Amino acid sequence: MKTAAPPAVALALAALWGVAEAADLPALAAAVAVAAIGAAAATAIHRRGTRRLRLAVAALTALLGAGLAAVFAAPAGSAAALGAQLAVLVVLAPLAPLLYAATFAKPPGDAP
Amino acid sequence: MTGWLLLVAATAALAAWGWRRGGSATAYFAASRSAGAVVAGLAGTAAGLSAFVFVGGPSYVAAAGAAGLWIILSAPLTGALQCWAVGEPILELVRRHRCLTVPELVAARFGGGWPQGLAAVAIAIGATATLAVQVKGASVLGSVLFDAPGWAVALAALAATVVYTAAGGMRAGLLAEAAQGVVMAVAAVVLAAATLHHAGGPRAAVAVIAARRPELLDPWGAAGGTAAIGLFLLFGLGTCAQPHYLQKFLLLKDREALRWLPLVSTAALLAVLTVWLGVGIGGTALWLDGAFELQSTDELTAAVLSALGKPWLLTLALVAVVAAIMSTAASLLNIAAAAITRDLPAAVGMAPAAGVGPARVATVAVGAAAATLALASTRPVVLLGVLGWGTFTAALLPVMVVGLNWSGASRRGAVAALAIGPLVQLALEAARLAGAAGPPWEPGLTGAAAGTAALVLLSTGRRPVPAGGGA
Repeated sequence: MKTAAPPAVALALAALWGVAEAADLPALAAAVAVAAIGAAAATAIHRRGTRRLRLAVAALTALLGAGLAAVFAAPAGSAAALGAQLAVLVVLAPLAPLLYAATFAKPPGDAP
Repeated sequence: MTGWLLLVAATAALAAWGWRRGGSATAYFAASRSAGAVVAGLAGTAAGLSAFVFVGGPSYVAAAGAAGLWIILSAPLTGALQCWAVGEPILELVRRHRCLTVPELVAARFGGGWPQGLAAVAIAIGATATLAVQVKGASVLGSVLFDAPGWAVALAALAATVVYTAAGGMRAGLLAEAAQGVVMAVAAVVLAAATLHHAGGPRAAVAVIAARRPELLDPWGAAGGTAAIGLFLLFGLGTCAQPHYLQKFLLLKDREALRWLPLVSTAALLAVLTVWLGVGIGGTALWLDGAFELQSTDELTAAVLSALGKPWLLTLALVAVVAAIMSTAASLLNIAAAAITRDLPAAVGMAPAAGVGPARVATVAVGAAAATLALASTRPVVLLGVLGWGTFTAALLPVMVVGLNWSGASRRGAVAALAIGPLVQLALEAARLAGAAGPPWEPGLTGAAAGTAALVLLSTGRRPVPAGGGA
């Protein structure tokens, strides 16, 4: 990671998280959370930016965002929000590790 | 009595085995780099999940409802996230510098001295405090679940762990943790299935909750949405900063082991967390349906086990709880001993202690300190537990996720992040205790955000330290 973009993203997310807490803005907090997890996963893209890896990180981030959006959209006091929470677990649990394995790249001379 | 005799015999055997094989620093602190994906994944899960999962987790669901699920909602992502964000750079540092501890990783990236010393201080203090949580939690659980004084159960579990960890370090601890992970996963699935079956199945359990206490289906709870998302993010990103998790990357035999590590660790993690969901939702439904009465939601797991009426389930739960306590304690003892005998001396320019004798002594001393702290402390277990996780997140998240991956990160920025993060976190914890900061503030994350800002701002314009080895 040699460009100024990733640290700038980290700095922006840190600042936005502070804003979300100070102003008690759950939607902003959720957006920052999804972006922060996506950005942390995306650090691998800067080391080995294959197309498959980009797609995998983008897909996981998008699915996580969709899951949290569904929780926000569910009617208060209904089982729908609980269903959305459980859906995040059920969908991402097999997908994330399998996408990691599918996009894993072994560099030459890797014996530690 | 039979169970305690078995514990003593197993501990003695493991300690003897470990004593013979844990004589070198690489064996003692990095298990001779012998772990494949299965062993590391099981051990990492067991080390990361404490007895809180079996007792505090279901109780949290009974008290907070769906809001109590946010802590575990990031679980599917954490295995892959850890490997992408920190596992791969750690393996690269290990390949170049043969690091044995997390502070040595920091030193390899940012240079020795202050960066290594601050990381070692954070780990030594945080690990001892987190270990004290395990002891205190065990003493509470002991009085609730075991037919014995709580402190006796806690000290027996800790003493057994200290014996085999002091003797064999992670060479003994790794295999024990992997086996304990299997026990925890099997017990959790069985307990969750039995509870939900007793409650009439998942749909019936949710229907009972919806009918009797619909407010428990509110996903945000009394603390509000920002606090709920804060817990989600703390336990999602925070896994990249827990030294007893990061330690497992140092034990891998090769980089290829990373490929399947997330699958193993996620499967094990989700299996163990079924107890949080199953006993939490099923047990809450049983409670609301009048199957039993509770003085406090903390009694939920014990009440469920009693209502199920099967002695073998109680035995299984007890074994799982002891396994959870011992697995977390072993890793914490080892990383604290490493910080004290290797990293702190190196940070002040002294040669690391020769052999593993001093580390064995330090392991016993850390165990004694944690026991004393736990038995003398009057703070609630849950508060202490979140405090430990948050301290590691505040101190280490910026340097591990941003620092290991950004070649522009400077030594000055890293030192600032390692100091500012925990200071902000501890100040916010104090403010929360004094009632000056409300629920939207998550101290660990706020500390990590402050540390990240310090790392980036103080690194801007400085001569970069190349990622993957600057020292």
